[in-house]
Amino acid sequence: MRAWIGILGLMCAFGGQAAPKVAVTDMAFEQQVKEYIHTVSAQTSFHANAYSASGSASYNEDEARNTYIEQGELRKFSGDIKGEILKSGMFQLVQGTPYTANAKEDVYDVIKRIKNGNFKGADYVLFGTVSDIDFRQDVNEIANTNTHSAVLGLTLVGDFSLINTRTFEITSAFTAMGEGQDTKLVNGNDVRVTPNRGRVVKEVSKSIGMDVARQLREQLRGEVEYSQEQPAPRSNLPRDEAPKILR
Amino acid sequence: MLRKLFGLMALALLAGCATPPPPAPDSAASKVVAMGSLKNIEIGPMRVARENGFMTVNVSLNNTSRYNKTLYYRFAWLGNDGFPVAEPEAWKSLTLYGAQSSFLPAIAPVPKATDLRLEVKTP
Repeated sequence: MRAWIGILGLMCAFGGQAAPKVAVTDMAFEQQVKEYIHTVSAQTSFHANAYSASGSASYNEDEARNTYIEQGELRKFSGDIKGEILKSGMFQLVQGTPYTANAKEDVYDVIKRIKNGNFKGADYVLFGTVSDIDFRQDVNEIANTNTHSAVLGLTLVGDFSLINTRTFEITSAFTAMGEGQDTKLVNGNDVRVTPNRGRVVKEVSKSIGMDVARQLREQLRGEVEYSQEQPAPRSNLPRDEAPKILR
Repeated sequence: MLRKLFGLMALALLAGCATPPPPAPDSAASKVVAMGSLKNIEIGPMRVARENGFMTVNVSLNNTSRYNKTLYYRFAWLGNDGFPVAEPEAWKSLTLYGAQSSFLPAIAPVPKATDLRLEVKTP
């Protein structure tokens, strides 16, 4: 009897277990910083008189390239990722130690960072790296009008893996993309057109967050969403009614 | 005898004064407002539905005379409170040939419309 109670108690304990804790890192990136130095100095002098002439010219050009690699974390886009994970209710979130400039370890060496205790209290770490980030700024003509459309777009692609902090097992891994754009119609009368960068950044953040949460659900719970697109806005028209014949 | 005659006359007078009973609610007649008497035009059943979110109506009309008749009409679209939800429409005219029966379709301009009135007038 006691054994049974014990087993039941254990089952209850496991059943009531809280959602695992996850630390979401900011997206790591590495960039090559190039410095280009170009100095030119040129001198000419020329003397002439009735009997002789002399001239001299000197030209000196220095060119140097200085390349170094900088590592860091993109702080901007992880807010909505965390938000969408919280909304999905699969995990609890823990804040890990952010990677700062005076950190000793490599930003990509997530195992060392876990071992150094950067993600204390987390069962999993969602480790993201920036695959590509790209601002687009296009001006396109609109046919048969005197208007152009000025588009500012931002695409951010990140590579994510969900790593167990004890076993270093990767429980899910995927690439997520966030996209946003701001379009403005411009014609010759516009003096100055400034695209709304803030809105673009927010849209990117939102869409990458939703993509991450969707793929986590898909890989961890097996919920496949067939519509990749966001659901079409439901019209708020009243429901149709069957015809009535009034006599 | 005279009294009876007076009684009958009084009854006849009263009957003449009495207003016709109002049409039953949700009948076709309750949706029609005739401005003056309609001459030789009969308004028959109405088909009322909501399609794609908008109220639609189709009214059957009948010319009871042998001659061509013109009808002026417009719809008023009302909301739940019985007040119009759209700008008043312009008057339109419709020609009904002698003894023709025809249909008059209309769609509400706004989805809010839940009821209608058909205003009709013959010249």
